[in-house]
Amino acid sequence: MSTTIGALMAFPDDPRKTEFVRSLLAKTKEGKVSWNKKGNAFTAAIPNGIVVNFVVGASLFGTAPTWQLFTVRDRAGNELLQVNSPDFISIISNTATGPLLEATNHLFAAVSGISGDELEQAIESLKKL
Amino acid sequence: MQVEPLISDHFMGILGLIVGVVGVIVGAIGTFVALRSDGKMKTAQQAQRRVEQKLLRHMATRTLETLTENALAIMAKIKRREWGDVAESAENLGQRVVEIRGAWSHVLEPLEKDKLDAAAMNIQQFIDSAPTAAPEPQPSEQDVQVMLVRCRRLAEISSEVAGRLSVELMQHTED
Repeated sequence: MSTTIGALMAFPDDPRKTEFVRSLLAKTKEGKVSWNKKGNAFTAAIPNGIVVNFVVGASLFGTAPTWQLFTVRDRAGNELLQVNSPDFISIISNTATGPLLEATNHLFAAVSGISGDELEQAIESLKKL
Repeated sequence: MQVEPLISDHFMGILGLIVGVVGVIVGAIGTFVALRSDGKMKTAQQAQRRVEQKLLRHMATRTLETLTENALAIMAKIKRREWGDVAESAENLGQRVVEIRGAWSHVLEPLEKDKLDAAAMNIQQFIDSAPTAAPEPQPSEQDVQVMLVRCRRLAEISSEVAGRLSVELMQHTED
């Protein structure tokens, strides 16, 4: 990941934010970033004390759960990047658009796909009994 | 061997030596007493900070518990279709969430901050979608379920954080 983390907060549409998310997606797909489910959130720790979180919205009427909020924080807990789902009007920060939103959607799809496998594995385990 | 008689210079020298030794001893005792008082002062300051931290955590816990109770109360009003009360209570709730997020930020874990932010967004959407009075078209059962889910998320996270803080408070009390 060549992005300088400290520069991610430079301005709202900084293309490096998108680069960061795309790099994270690539590393996730390669299995180099380990995501953990914590309640209604997915979280992962990457080198240099960076922590990334997805807060997941409730699954309503059988629909697939969607993400509400994506954040990147440094070791000290300072927020480097926050992306809000366009489905949720934010009173806290700007809602993402364009490539950043697209990249975040792809990242969430990859992350939730990995998590979905756990349930599949549980079903397979029962079948083997 | 002839012993020279002690002259006043010799007396002055011996006296100076004695005074010097006494001065060193007094200085050492003074330093010891000062270090001991400093240690006691630091211990007292640490104890004071611990008490302040406990008090802050206790206040944060109480505030979050109240938030949970408010969210649950609104859910009950939604179920009873008391839309006039729901709209007003939801406005207050939204304001409280943002206040809590700002005031207690230092006691929240990063993920808890994110979850509270997401809950705040949920409440904002709920406020925007909730009917303000009875004569308005009544929400469908599906809309009501969405409203309940949005409030429940806030109740869950505020309860989760209050729980963590109260357990930590108990652990520190045992220490």
